[in-house]
Amino acid sequence: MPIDMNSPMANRVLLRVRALSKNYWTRRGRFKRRAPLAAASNVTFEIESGKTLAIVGSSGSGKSTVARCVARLEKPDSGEIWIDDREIARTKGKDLIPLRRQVQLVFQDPSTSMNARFSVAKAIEEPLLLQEHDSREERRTRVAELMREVALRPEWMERRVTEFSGGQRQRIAIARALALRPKLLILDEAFSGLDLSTQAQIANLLLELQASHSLTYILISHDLTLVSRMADTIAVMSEGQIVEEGRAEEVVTNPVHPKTRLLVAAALGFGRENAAQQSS
Amino acid sequence: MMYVLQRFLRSVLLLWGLSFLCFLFTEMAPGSFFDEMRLNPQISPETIASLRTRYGLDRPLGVRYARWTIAAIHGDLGYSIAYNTPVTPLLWTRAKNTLLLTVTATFLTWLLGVPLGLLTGSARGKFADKLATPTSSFLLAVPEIVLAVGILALVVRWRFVPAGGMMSLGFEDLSPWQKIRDIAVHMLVPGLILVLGGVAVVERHVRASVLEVLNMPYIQAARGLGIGRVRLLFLHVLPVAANPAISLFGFSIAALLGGSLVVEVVTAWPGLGPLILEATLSRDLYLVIGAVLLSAVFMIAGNLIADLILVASDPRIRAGESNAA
Amino acid sequence: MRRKLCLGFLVGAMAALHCAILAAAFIAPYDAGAQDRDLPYAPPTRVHFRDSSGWHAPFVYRWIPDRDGYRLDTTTRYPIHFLARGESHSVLGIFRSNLRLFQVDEPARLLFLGTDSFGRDEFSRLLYGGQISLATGLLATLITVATATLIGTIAGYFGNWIDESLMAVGELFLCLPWFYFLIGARAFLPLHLSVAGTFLLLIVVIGIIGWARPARLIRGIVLSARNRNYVLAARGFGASSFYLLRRHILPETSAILLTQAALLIPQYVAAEATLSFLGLGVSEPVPSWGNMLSPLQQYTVLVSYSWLLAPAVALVITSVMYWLLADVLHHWVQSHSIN
Repeated sequence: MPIDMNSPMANRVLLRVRALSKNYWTRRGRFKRRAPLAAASNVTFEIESGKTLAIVGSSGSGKSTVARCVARLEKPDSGEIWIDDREIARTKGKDLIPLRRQVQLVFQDPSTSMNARFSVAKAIEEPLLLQEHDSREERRTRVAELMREVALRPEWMERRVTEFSGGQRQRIAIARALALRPKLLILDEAFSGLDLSTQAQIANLLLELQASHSLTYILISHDLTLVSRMADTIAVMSEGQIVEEGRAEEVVTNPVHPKTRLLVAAALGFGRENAAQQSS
Repeated sequence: MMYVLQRFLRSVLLLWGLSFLCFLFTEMAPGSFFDEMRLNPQISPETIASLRTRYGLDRPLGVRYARWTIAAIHGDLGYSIAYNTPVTPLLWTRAKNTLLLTVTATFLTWLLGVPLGLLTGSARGKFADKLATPTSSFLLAVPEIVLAVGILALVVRWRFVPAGGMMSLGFEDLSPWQKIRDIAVHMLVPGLILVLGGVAVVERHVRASVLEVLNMPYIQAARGLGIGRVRLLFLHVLPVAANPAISLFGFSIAALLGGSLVVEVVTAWPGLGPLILEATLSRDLYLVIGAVLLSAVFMIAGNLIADLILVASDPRIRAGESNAA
Repeated sequence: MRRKLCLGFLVGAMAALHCAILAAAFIAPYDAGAQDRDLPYAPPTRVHFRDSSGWHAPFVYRWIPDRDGYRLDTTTRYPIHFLARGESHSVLGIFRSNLRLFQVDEPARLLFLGTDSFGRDEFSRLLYGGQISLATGLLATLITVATATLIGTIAGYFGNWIDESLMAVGELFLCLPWFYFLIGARAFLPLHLSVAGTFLLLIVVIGIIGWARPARLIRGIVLSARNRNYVLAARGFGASSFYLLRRHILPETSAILLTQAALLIPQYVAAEATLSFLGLGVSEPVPSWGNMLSPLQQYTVLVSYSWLLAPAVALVITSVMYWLLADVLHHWVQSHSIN
């Protein structure tokens, strides 16, 4: 990872999550009690500034819940979330608004994460509209800038979002997420809907952006192959808890927890096939 | 079972809510009901005084409501100043007349409408459909009052059909068979108006749901298996297409008392409609409330019955319930 | 192509109808209340273009009261004057004018649709009455749509007990024998109000009753829109509820609101007509399509004076046009939402 090891930014902890728990309440019939479903329980991890943490696990393991709690799209039931030494798990209401600038989320499906009626410009400028007090021209200038950063041509600004392919739409979503210059970007299964070559393109783009903007990433995925390229550390989740954590190479080469082994086996199996195909 | 109980409870609550609204209306009406009664020389002051205590007008709101509710449950819905008689028997006589008309009309409507809907749904685009569908669309668009007045205008030119009322003069002297014939003849015009409007609605609904079902993959599969058209229609399509029709049937029941007001007034059929109209025009409070309540009961009961039939006939609802449990 | 032609025709016809009714005072030869006691139940005067002496500009003959009805006085021709001076009227309540589209010289009367029992011109009253009936329908629809949007949005957006209780109230309204309720409600309000008062009352009462069904539809849309990812994303940018509703959620409801409105308008026009017919709505001497049909409850009138059925025809035409419009809107909405 192209990080300057001598810069003071390196090795500084950006995000600290302690004992994060979130329950979802399910309704079982009208007159019966509601049973809690523990989506995340006692999750603890840290990320250093400029690094990439990957949270992997199968469906329902709680990865998205953690992502949404950190992005404060949901309110955690208990635990602490510290960003740059500011605790945000308890904040609510008006105080939360400025804090939102620091963490942004890129959703899995770009066709639902943006309003289909919007033009690219309208979609990307939305955070600016809500948080900044720029004029229309200033916003449009910034939109053009952002579009260039994600390798989209600014002339396409007025086109509807639906006119673009999946990969391009995800770029638009990334541009939108970067509008407020966040420090932490969470990518919640951001690659899942795309084909392999597009995935690679987006991955490269993200790496470039990370370098140029000193971004910190949380990658949420169920696909270990994808993640192992980009991540510095990997945390494996199962049934709401982190079952294994460590540096990326360690986890992939020496998985300890049975869940991790399953994931690695699946990834490697695919990788082996892929490698076999390519060599033949 | 839970579902049935739920719906029943809901209906009871609705009825209670409605009765409360009705009661509030009696309270809110400007001008005391009894002041108006006092103006009527035919009612003695003693009657007024006794009615006053009976309705407990000097008691607080809660007590009044309780009394009113208890009285209503016992069938005492108040007193009519215009007719100078208690409300309930008056309502009952008229309601019977209305029901006679509407039950017959509803029966005929469904008898004609369902086959017609099946026919046009399964033979889409063919002659029957091309004829029936624009006609029923037109009938749906025409407001009820126009339909009533229009048909009446057409019919009165042909003197053989009576233009109004329920019985001819000298009805009492007729033999039982002649009496039935007499009423039936009088029912022709209002019945025709109701049936025309009703068939259009039923045909539309049945046709729409038949079309929807016919497009489903399993029907295509059945046809591919070579299942004949009639068998397909009755065994495969109809049970599924029946759901929306059953809801509609519930509405039909619900409208048994309330849906024929305009027709009755226009054709002078002595039913609940003209009664409530008169009551409104003469500000006969309790009569209006009584009629509204009575027809509301029918409406709620009709919806409940429709729900119950749906539960009984659609296994998915029963399954859905056990899934949630 | 043929579809577009039909649609264009429909829109044109509706526009023509509404403009004609809006310009009632200009198009109608006479005022709504102008009586002519000498000419009760006069049949329509036919417009002639030629007589024994050849072709002429359009003219009419005069009705002379006879023993049992009327006979035509063919001795004198009364040409129709276009854009002539007639009784004065106010345009939009702002300025007065007495320019009218059609006029004939006294003592003849230009009666396209005959007269009623007071000798009032049925055609003029039809136009004026249309103003009342249509205005009631449109304004009541506005009330219903506004109420339904408000309640449906609140229910769909906030969910939980708010949603449940609002929908339960809605079900109560759906369950009501609404017409009886309308009559009942009408019963408890003063029977004789000023014209404006009656009008307002009618609009409010009709409008308030029908909110439940559209509200339920809107609630559904708001509920599903609220959970969309782009709404969540906007929240992540710090959007307030107001912003979300305004920019993302409510625009989704516009299509269905239009369709619902198109469905409600004819129903409400019919409701006004029915109420007025029964004597509970707009009352004499103000004309409305409903109370103009009231005299037809008498057997003799119904049989002998069929030109008085004109309001019924007008009602049918209006209803059919709006239903067709609703159909078109419905298909348009469906085809648009597929993308």
